[in-house]
Amino acid sequence: MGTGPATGPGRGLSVVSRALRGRSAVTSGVLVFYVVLSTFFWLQVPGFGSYNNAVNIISTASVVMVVSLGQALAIISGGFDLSVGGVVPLGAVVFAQLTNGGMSIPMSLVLVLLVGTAVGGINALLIGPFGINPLIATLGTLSITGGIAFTVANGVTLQLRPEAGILGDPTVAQLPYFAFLVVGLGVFVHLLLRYTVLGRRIYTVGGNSEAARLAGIRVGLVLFGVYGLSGALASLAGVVAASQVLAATGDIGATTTLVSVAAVVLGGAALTGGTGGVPGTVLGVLLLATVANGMNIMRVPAFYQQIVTGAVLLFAVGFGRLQETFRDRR
Amino acid sequence: MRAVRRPRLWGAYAQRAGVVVAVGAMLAVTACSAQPSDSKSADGNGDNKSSGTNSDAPVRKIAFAVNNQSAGQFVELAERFVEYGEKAGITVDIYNNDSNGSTAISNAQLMVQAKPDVIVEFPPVADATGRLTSIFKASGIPCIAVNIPVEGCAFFNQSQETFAKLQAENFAKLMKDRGWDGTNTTVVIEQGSKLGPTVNIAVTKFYEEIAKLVPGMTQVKAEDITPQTTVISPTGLQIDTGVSASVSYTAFSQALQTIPKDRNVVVYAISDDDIIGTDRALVQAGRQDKAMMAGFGCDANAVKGLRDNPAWVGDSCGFFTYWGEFLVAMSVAVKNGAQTPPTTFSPMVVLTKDNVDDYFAPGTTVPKGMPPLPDESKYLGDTGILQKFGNVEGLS
Repeated sequence: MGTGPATGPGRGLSVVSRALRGRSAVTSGVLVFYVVLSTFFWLQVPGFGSYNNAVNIISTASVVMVVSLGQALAIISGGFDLSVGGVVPLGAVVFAQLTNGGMSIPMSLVLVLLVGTAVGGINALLIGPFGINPLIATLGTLSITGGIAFTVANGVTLQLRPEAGILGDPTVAQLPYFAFLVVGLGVFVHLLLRYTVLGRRIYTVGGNSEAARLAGIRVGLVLFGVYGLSGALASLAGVVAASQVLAATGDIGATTTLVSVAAVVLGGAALTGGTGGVPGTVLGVLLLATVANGMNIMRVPAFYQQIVTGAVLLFAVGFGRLQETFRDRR
Repeated sequence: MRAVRRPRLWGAYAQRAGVVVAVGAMLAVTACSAQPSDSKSADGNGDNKSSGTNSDAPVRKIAFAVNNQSAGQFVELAERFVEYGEKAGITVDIYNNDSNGSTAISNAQLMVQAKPDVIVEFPPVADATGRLTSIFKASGIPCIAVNIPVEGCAFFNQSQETFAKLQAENFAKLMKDRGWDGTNTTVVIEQGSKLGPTVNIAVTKFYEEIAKLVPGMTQVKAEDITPQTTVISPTGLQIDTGVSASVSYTAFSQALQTIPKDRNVVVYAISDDDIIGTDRALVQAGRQDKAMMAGFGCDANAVKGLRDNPAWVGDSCGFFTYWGEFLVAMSVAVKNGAQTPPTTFSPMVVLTKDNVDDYFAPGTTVPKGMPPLPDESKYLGDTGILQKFGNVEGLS
């Protein structure tokens, strides 16, 4: 057992390099689609190309962006993190309760991050040592954290003190502070995936966890890093969401689960794990946010927006995969 | 090989243990959930005659299926209903419909099995109440539907049309004072497209009414504003805000891109949460001083907003979380064969900056009284129940 190419360290490296190649093919397909779509909106929708609207797209995409960075880690590692739909509102209401209770903003932020990391740690424990399928494990914690969020908020809308919403206040060039935070987080996760041992191990575990384990990688530890970070990012997204609207509820950001999965897949990640990355994820989030923004400005009714969003998702991914297939044939 | 197998064996034991624990937990939860989620009674025999009501037939037990227990307003509604029942010597058992049609059907059957004197149903889904009707009809137990009608049951609600008219009058006056009209103002109504016309009539009717009162506005009938309508007229927009502060923030931020900066904006939403998101979007766009807005529900945030936020100028208040006292009185009336009107309405008022302290104790968000009952609801006073609580003007 265990010494052939399928299980050795060389196998891990080839998984990483294939992952990076495949990812860029799909990402470039989606990028082309994004450029075409943006040009269409630019030409057809008055006001779409304004600076204010660009700020608007960035602001409204921020919460999903932060969640998607964590989701990307989970999907690349071969799993899922459905619990983000519960952790986002939990982070938001805990932050609101702490700051409304008089705690300082930095301290509240640290505690919120700890809550998110703890949920992620529990996910990792369930998926690693207990061997529960990530879909089921995080579905369970989604329900639990969502319920706790409602309990913490007591079902009501908690308004934030204006100073607690500082992340959502406009700063340089009308961009809110959290926009810069999101950029920083994107760079951090990108560097983590591309240039650190942990990043490469995440790809390796996602490509073949059994092979990774036999190659000496401590899979449980990698999963703890993945889900811990995903939980922390989701709870931070809750703070961003609460800062945006200066309020927190038990269901704020609860829809981010599926949107984040969609964005990560749009960005070239495979649900089987081992592929994906930050540039693609950012592109996926921006694509979904731009479609929603363009349709809102065009005043497309909500029911049709839902249909168009689904179609765009399928078309963009299909376009990317098609491009990848042609490239492979050549 | 051992190194490979050990974690698997350990995992298998862990999984089996997990299954045993989970099954045990499920059995425990099932056993608990088979009982009503709340059940309180002030006195042991629960005879309401001994508690001094004017009714003839005793009402000892009311079963109340609440829409859900995950939103604060519904939790408060149910808790207060139990408290008011307690004070009247009536046990109120709460069932949670969990915003789900099939749970409501299951609860309807459980309520019938429990043989209460009156069933009070808050359906979670509009226009899908046929099955509830057949269950209640077969049981022969008198029933009251809340917020969404159920055929065969007496109906209790607030009048969205009345609020729409009152709110339009409120805005029309304020707009006139500021010199705002159709030439310089855009009216934005915020709907929840998935909630159906019973709820959204609140804002569509508002547009119809305000367009009649404000010069220069294009008149459109409420029935012509469908969930798919986004541009009502050159002076009116409709956006879907889904009864959520964050959805409202996003949708309104984007709608603002299409409204020229020199135009004033008037906003009326189906909930107070929507107004919280809208307000934030207005502030971030630097347009709060050219905006007026009103919400629906008079929750604590709305009361604070009316006092502190210059742009928050109205709120439609049907005292939703206090409906329990009217439902106790209505249950007694229905049990005693009272002829109920097509809709029994709660007391209603449009809160403004001027009258907010008349209904909510100054400096607090606690209601201190409600306006008189509308004419069609006056029969509730004959039960003598409302006088016990002393909350309604003219019935203390």
